[in-house]
Amino acid sequence: MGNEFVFGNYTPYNTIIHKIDCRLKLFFLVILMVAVFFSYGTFVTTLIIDGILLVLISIIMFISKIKFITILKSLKFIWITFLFIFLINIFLPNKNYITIAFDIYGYNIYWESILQSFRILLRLIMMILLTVILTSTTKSTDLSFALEWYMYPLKLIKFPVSDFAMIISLVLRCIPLILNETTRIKKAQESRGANFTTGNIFKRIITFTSIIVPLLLSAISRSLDMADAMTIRGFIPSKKRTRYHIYKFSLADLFSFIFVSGCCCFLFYLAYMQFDLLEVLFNFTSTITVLR
Amino acid sequence: MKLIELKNVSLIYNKKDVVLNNISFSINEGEIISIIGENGSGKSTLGKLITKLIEPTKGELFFKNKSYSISNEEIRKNFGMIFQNPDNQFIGNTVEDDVAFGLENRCINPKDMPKIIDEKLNLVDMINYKKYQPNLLSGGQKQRVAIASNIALNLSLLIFDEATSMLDPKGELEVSNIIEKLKKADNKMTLIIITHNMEEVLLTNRVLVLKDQKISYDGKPDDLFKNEELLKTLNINPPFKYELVTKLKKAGFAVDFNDSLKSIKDKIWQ
Ligand SMILES: Nc1ncnc2c1ncn2[C@@H]1O[C@H](COP(=O)(O)OP(=O)(O)OP(=O)(O)O)[C@@H](O)[C@H]1O
Ligand SMILES: [Mg+2]
Repeated sequence: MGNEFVFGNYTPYNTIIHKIDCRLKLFFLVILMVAVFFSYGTFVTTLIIDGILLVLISIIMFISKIKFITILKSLKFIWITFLFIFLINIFLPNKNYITIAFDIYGYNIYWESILQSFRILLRLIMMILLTVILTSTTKSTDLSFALEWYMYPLKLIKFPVSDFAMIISLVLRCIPLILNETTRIKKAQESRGANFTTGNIFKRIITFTSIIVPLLLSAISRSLDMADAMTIRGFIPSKKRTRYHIYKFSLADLFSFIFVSGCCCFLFYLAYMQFDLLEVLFNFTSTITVLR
Repeated sequence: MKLIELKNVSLIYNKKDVVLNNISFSINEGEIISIIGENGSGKSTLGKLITKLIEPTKGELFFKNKSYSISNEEIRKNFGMIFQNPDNQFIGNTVEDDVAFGLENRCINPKDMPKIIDEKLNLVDMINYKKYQPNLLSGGQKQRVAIASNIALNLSLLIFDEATSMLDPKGELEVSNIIEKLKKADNKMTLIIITHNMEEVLLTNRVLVLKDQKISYDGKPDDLFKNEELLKTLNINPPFKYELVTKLKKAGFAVDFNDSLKSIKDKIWQ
């Protein structure tokens, strides 16, 4: 196993973002995602706010020492999906669109749809970035604790909250192992003559099963081994356990809470009012001119 | 005093695959034992039977003369096991979390945990890696963390199931150094070392050979490795030194099994 960057893997730095309480970070992720998802009146307003959000996200990434380049590199395999989503949205017909941009053999493509697809793509990227920020600044054990903490009310209806949290934390723990295993199996199959880079889509799917099957088998044997290792160290599902890490909210947590929730409340307000930001700004400047 | 006793234990998988057939033996407190045998001879199965990860098809097991089963939590608390694959037994997200995992299961007070964790990580020389994640550690280091995680639980029996077979020579050496340390520790933990590596057998005072679903040899490693006939019937390759001395003896050199490698070399030069 190397120490290569695995997408969204925890980076052991000591920044403010790393130090913020995991429960708060999970909360921030959710409200920021909602803010990203809202539509803010006109296209232009929405794009301006998206731009502001993007700047905010970049600043957070800079503070938490996440390198943009590494994310771009590890997103390699998603670009195709992005392109696909982009094109589909451009070609999807919608009666409300009016401004024709291109005319491809009688099929009209509208400026609105291009803007709309651009916006969808931007949203997707921002949501991925937000998730990456969370997972690379929060240990998986902390993350599963945060989930468990929020799911605590479910205990009332006898939902096995702590077991669920343990499953999440084990899954997070195993993702890098399984990614490594995938590369190993892929190389092994390639050395036997399997070809993953050329051939038509059906051929590729068939060669792909030559990875999936051994991967599943090894995952099963790994999980059996892990179960033994956990049992031998006294793990019994649903049994009460103590907790090594003690979680406490700090003053910095309070400030970050005020800041992020303040920003989000402002954005929610904008979304609620559906302002046309350009018009507002225009009116504002003209008021000032009038006052002069 | 007897720590573990097996009485007429058999294990049959799927009603027809006999892995262990009517085995009886006992292990005394503080003993250091190795178990060897070919692939599929049932070594791991025997280890899992003793720690009660599985139940025998027939027969009974005793811990300090008390019969126990899978549900005897109190007795099973005394057993630990190190497995072959270093990655599959690293449960925590970091080295300290992994050691803490077992302590959390035992409901140890979190205030006492740091002291125990530091002490055990010190013992396996991993204290400087406390905050490390498993993907930054070598196989040998991960196995040492696994040892620390197990012995943090105050065991009376620790089983190594081919704990070094996926490691490079350096990792092997690291783990066997820890085994030496555990032997010398004063709490007298009983150790069972399941292995394919004959040099590791020499770390122990007693060796069990599993063959044909039975224990075909139970005695001192030294006696086994000197006995050429027996080695042949059990299909075992002795450690390098024993092989060397046996061959040299046949060739007429006046060497002895107790000689150090250096004195053997000198005798050959004469
Ligand atoms: N869960 C199971 N179901 C059925 N058969 C099993 C199971 N576990 C093990 N066996 C069989 O039991 C036999 C003994 O397995 P075991 O793993 O104990 O051997 P081993 O001596 O540890 O071998 P190795 O040196 O490869 O680790 C093997 O033939 C194996 O196929
Ligand atoms: Mg085995």
